[in-house]
Formats: sequence, structure tokens, C-alpha cells
Amino acid sequence: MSDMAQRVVDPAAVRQPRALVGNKLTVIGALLTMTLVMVAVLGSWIAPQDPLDQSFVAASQPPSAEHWFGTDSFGRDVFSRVIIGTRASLAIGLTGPIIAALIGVWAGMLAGWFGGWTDRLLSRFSDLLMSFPTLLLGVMIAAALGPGFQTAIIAIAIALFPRFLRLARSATQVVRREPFIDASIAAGRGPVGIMLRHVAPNIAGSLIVALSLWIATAIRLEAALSFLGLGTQPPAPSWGNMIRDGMGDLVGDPWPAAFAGAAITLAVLGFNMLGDALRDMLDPELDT
Amino acid sequence: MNALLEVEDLSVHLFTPRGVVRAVDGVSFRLEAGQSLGIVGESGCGKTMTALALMRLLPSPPARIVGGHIRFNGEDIVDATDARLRQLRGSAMAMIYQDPMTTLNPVFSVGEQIAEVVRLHEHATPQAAFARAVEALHQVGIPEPDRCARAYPHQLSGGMRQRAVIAMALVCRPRLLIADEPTTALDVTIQAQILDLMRVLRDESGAAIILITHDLGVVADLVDDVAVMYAGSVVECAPVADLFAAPAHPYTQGLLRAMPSLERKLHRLPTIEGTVPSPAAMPPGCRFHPRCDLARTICRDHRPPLLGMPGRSAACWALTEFELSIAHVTAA
Amino acid sequence: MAGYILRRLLELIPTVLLVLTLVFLALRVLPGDPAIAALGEYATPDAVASFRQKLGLDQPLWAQYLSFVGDAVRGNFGRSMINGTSINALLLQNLPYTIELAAAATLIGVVVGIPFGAAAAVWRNHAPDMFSRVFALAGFSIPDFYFGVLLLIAFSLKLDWFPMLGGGQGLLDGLHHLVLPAVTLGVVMAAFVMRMTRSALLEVLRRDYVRTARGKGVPEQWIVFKHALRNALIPITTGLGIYLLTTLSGTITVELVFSRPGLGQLLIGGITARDYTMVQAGLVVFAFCVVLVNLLTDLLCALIDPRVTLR
Repeated sequence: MSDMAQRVVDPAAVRQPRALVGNKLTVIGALLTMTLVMVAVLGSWIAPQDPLDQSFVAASQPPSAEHWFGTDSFGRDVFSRVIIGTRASLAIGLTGPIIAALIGVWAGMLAGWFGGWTDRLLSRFSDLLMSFPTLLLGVMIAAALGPGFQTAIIAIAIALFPRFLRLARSATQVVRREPFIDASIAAGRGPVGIMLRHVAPNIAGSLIVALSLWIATAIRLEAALSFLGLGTQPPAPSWGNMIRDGMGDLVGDPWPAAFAGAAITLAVLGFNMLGDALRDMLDPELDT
Repeated sequence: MNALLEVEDLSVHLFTPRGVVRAVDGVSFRLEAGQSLGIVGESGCGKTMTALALMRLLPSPPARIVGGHIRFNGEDIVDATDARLRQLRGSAMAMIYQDPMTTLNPVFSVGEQIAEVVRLHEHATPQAAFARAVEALHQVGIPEPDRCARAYPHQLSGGMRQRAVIAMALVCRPRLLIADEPTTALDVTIQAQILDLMRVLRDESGAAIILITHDLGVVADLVDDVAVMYAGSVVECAPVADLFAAPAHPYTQGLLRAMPSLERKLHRLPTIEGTVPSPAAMPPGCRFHPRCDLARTICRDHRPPLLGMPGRSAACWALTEFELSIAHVTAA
Repeated sequence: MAGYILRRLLELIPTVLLVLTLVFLALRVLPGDPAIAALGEYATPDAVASFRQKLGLDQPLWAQYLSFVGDAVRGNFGRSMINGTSINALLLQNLPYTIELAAAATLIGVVVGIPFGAAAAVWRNHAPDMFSRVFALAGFSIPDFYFGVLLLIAFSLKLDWFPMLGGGQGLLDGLHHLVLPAVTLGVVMAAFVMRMTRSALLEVLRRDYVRTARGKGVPEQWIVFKHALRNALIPITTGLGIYLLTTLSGTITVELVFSRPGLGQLLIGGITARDYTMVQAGLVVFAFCVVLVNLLTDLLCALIDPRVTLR
């Protein structure tokens, strides 16, 4: 589009439907994620019943006025379990990526700043990790550490930190070449100070977008690990292990699995939409 | 005589999110069969958009033809159907593009890409079409055309690729060939070779040629007539010799003064003061008046129409028809 | 081309070593003790010592590493610690189920994803594109195993069209058992392929050579399916290779949903039963699959893109 001759600025022609769609997505995504966080925090007050309370009389019931989502094969209230399960899922789904970001960003800045063998070693290692699908890495780490809550967090952190490393590394490399960095060094500022002052603000936007999208992945990963019996251990409810429990009696009582899965889907959807919307806002040129 | 191509009041607008850009604004010119026309102007003057509009190849969105006529052999291209356009493109009218690095498809061999034109328009067998492709490559001066036809674009140099693009344009013997800055992306030595080739093809192929360039020197010995464009409009039309001998429009005069010449020994080439107006802030009246030495009051408020006779005209209030005719006589 | 394949095969050696090192690091160097993991926390010191000796865990780390790599490369996985069955025999029995599931899912993903993605690109911002956006958002959000559970409830339990459990006997029964698991992974993959095809094609349709084709009088559908798609296939294939790995790991959960035999069942069964040798074998085979898929992707790209072989 090199040839342009005249532009008549016409305010009526200035319509950006993408921005409108973006706003709507942001609102829905933000609402979904905020609701999730609220449910996780206020879970004990919202949940109508004790999620661990068993009752053989009330086992395997379909949804009713008393049990909105029905009961599982132990007679536990599925609605309460889904609500309390939000905690485990969100705790792992948020902690994992945040740890990954903390480690990954620092390692990436180191690699980008120092270059040389530090960079080669870190990049090679993260490339290796990234060539594995996240679930397989999670299973591998669960195999080494044994199933459990912490295992899930560590597995997610290890699976995701290379992505943050890459992001921080390339941003640091770009900033490193800027002339004002030399001025900063001349002014006696150390590498850590320079990174905090110049690199960190530069990647803040893409970091938030990446974090939001990887939280979605982490929630799904946690659910998959718990479903495989490698994450949150029963009787503590998490969405993944509720589906696992529900598999035992899918014929008689499909409700626990169905509702727990719907909760995962909504949570992942919320963070995906939020991430997409944030990306549209922070990086409007990108069209994916 | 009926012209091969007659462009009348052609307007192309770009509809961008930030506003409407009048890329081509009321352009008219005509071209007889077998003749050649140069369209000259600075980058951003609308010449590439004009060229693409002639074949209805404008990138849409954002570009759209909003008015005017393009009569090719008396048939209006502006409202031709897609099916009709497909028939014409590649067989009756063909184009050579600016950057040979990007105009060829990287995953097909050069021969396949040329043969495709033959297969589309002449229903030839694949073997016959490929043979024609090899022949076309030979015609544009490619040594070992067999090997070149089997090569992929990335295996050829820029000059060779542009020759292949030219072969692709000529393989079905079009009546109109549009060359959009065919040498700008090439090295200087290769530029000269490609221009020599264009000269030979102009004489041999019998096609009418539109050569689009920002370089007046390129058109000098290659075309019969020249149309000078400025800010989306044609400001002067003239036979090439007249234009060089007696440029009528102040912009053309400026362009000619800015050309390096062997006779004049100057330490610095004169330039035209100021810059091409930004599309967002197009001056009212004559678009050239802020940069023009001869600007008068009328130039600020009213746009001058093309004055003069067909084939020798200029859009400038400073010229009377009398002056134009004098210019014509003195040049002749 | 032959030279390129040879080079890629040679490059395989360090990659395989690296991947094996990763598995070794995970199992031996991470702070979990395989002996404790296998025998439980209350095992007697004697039992732990004999366990370590049996697996060679009492030897120095480098010796363990060498014998681990040697065994893995030779495909010598030993015997299950739980019931003493030959792990190689178990792998031979189970691996085909996983491969056929991943292959069928990929087939569905490609056959559904590419045409729909192309339609979304051609009719950008119209109905097919809107559909692709919604489908993609749903596909990215629903966990594949949950989608499998839903399909299982609907088509096995309620409608009774497909069997619920196992891998089936013989060709027809096997295919019958394959449908739901393959659709589960395939549909989720299709969402990804569709989005990728759309953006790759949109990118390619902007290129100059598409205009050249139009200028030659090539019909619009040929431009999309011949000129543009052939170019778009290069990034699509790369992305497909990456997503194929996700699908491969997805077989682990989906096999559990449909009680289908396979590599994932062996691996997860091994982890739950604390069958150390089995876990080791499962991880190594999965790692080999990752390397193999990466290799195949590169070769396929070289086949599509004439520029690759020269690089």
C-alpha cells in the first residue's frame, strides 16, 4: 500500500468492530474469572453442605431442589463439591503459572542479558522441555515425585516456565541493544537494576497476556492430572478427581462428572477469553 | 481510431479504518494498439493503484474503484464479470510486477507457473504448455531455458526471476502489457538488461505497453507518450519528445530539472521544494500549489482541469491553451 | 532430499540422548526415592537395600546413566516389578492401540480442520468465520477427557451406538471401539487445525504471488486450494506436528475414559502400582514418540517446501 494520495478523515468511517467485540469478550472473560475467584475465596460460605459429608441414603441422586447438581455415589452434595473444588483447581492453576513466570522471567532475563554459554544452556534446556507436551511433562514429574497437590504445582511450573523464559529472553535481548542501556551502565546501575527498570516494564504487557492464557492451560492440566489420579488426592474435591470418581458409576449417576467438567470448561473459557481480549487490547496489530 | 485502452475519470479510494484515502482521483488517458505509454510520478502518487485498477487487481479491501471507466477494446473493465476478467487476464492483458522476489510462488517450479497461463487460456496439454513455457523463457533471453523451467524461484537470481515474470506475462501474447516499476527492485546492471529486453519485446511482441516508473530517464527511449501523475491525478500528458523538450506543467519541469544530465555540470541537483502532501492533509485547489513557484490566487481555491488537446495536455492555471499549442509546435 | 534425510537422522542422535537424559533426570535425580516410592514409607532398610541393588540404584550415577541409555536404545525394558511380565511384550501389545488412536484423531483433525479453516479464511468475518471462532474457543476450553466423558454418556450410555469399554477384537470391532476416542481427540484437534489454517491462509492470501495468480486468470478456488493452501501447508504442518504431540499426550487421559488399552494405561497403571521399571519404559517410549513426531514433521515440511532441502 505504498500509493496513497489523499485521505479524507471521515469520523463516520472510523468504526472498529474488533474493538467492540474485544470489549465484550473482556467483560465476559473478566466476569467469569472474577466469579471464579470469588467462589474460591468465599467457597465455605457459599457451599450449602459439607463437601465431605457422606450419606448412603442420598447416594447417586439426580439434581433436585435440595441437591442442585445431585449427589455422588457416596451421597455427597455435588454442588458443594464443585464449589470447594474451585479452590484446589484455582490454587494450583494460579500458583503453577505464577511460579513458572517468576522463575522463567528471571532465567530469561539472565539468558538475554549475559548471552554466551548461560544463554545457550538455558535456551537448550527450555527447548528440550518445550518439545514435550505439557501433560506428558506433568505425568513424568508426577511419576518422579509421587501424586499430590504439590506435585501438580511443580509439574505445571516446570512445564510452563520455558514459555516465560523465551518471552523474557527475547525482550531482554532487544532492550540490551538500546543505547540508553549503555548510559545506564555508565551511570553505575547494575544488571538487576537495569532489568527491573528497563526490561520489566517492557514485557509487562505480553507477560500479563501470556500469564492469563497459561493459567487457562494450567487449570486444564491440573484437571487432567487429578483425573489421572496424580494431582489432588481424594477425599479433597477437585474438578479433575470428581470426574475420576464419577467414572465409576457413569451409568447410574453421570451428574458429578458432568458438572465438574462443565466447571473446568467455564474456568478455562474465562481465562482464555480474558487472555484473548487482553491481547487484542495490548497488541492490536496481532490477528489470530 | 478506436483506442485499445481508454481510461476515463478513474477514481480509486482506499477505505481504511482511519478514513477514506483518494488514491486515484479522476485519472484519464488513452493508448492505441501497439503504442506505449509511460506513467511517471513519485512514490505515493497513485500510479501503482492505477495499474492494478486496469486489471482489476486492486487489493480489496481496502481499495475499490468508485468511479470512471476503463474501456479495453471498447469493453468496460470496471463492470466486467469475474468470469470475463479471468478470460482477459493473462491472455489479453498481462502484468509485470515490481518485486520479482515475491511475485513468483515459492512452491511451484518456474516452468509450471508459466505453463499454467497457457493451460488456462489455450487448453493445451500439460506437456505442450510446459514446452511453451520453455520457449517463452528462451525468448526473454534465459540461457538453458530447460533447466530454468524446472528450477524453483529461490534457485534463481533476481534478474532471472524478473525475466521469468516477463516470460509469464508474454507467453499468451497479450495485446496490453502493464509493467509496474519492473526494474526498481533490481541491481543497476540488471536494470539495464531488463530495460534492453523490454525495448526488444516492445518491437517484437506487438503488445501495447504501459510502463509505470518513478524514473523519467527510464521512459525516455522506451515509450511514445508519457502521463505525469501527482497526488492521485494526471498533471500532464505528452509525447515523450515534447515532454522532454518543453514540459508544460511546473511539476514536470521540476522533475526534469532534478534529473542528472551529462551536459549540465552542477554540483548539486536542484530539487522540488517541499514534499508530496500527506493524504490526510491534501491542500485545496491545485495539489501542487504549495510547492509551485507560479502559484496564484486561483490555484489555492480551484483545481485546474487537464487543458489542451488529447495527447498534449496539462493541468495548470498558469498555462493558457495558446501557450500549450506553442509548446507543441516548438517541440515538433 | 536423501542428503537432507540423512542429516536429520544424524541429528537424531543428540536429540535422543537429550530426551533420555531428561527422563533419567526426572526419575533418578529429582528428590523422589524410587525405592521408597515403590515399597512405601514403612519398608525395612533391608528391603530398600535389596530393591536398590536389583535395579542398580546402588551404583554411581554415571554408571546408572550409561546402563539406562544402553537399555533404552536397545529397547530392553526388563520386566514388570509387580508381576514379572516382560515389558517389551506389554508394549508390543499396547502400543498399536495408542498409535491407531493418535493416527485416527489426527486424520479427523486434518480432514475437518483444514477445509473449515480454509472456509473461515475465504469468508473472513462471515458466517463460516464466526462459526470457526466459536468452535475454536470451545475446543480450546473443553478438556479433551471431559469431552470424551460427554460423548461416552451420550453415544454409549444413552443411545448405545458405540461400545463403552476396551479396544475391541478384530478389524471391524476394533474400528467400532475406535470411533468415540478418535472423535474425542480429533474434534479438539480440528479446532486447533482450523484456527491455524485460517491464520496461515490469511497470511498467504496477502502475498504478492496470489495477486500474480489472479493476474494470470486463475479461478478463485484454484487460487485458494492450489496456490495459497500449498504455501500455507508449510506452517500448518509445523503446527500440526506440535499439536500431534498434544494429541499423543491426550491419549493418556482418553484411554482412561474409554478403558482402552494403550501406552497411557501402561504408564498410569505403572505410576499407581509403583511399578518402577514400567514407568521408566513408558516414559522412554513416549519420549521416543516425541522425537519421532518431530522428525516426521520436519521431513514432511521438506517434502512440501522446495526451499528446505537447500538450507
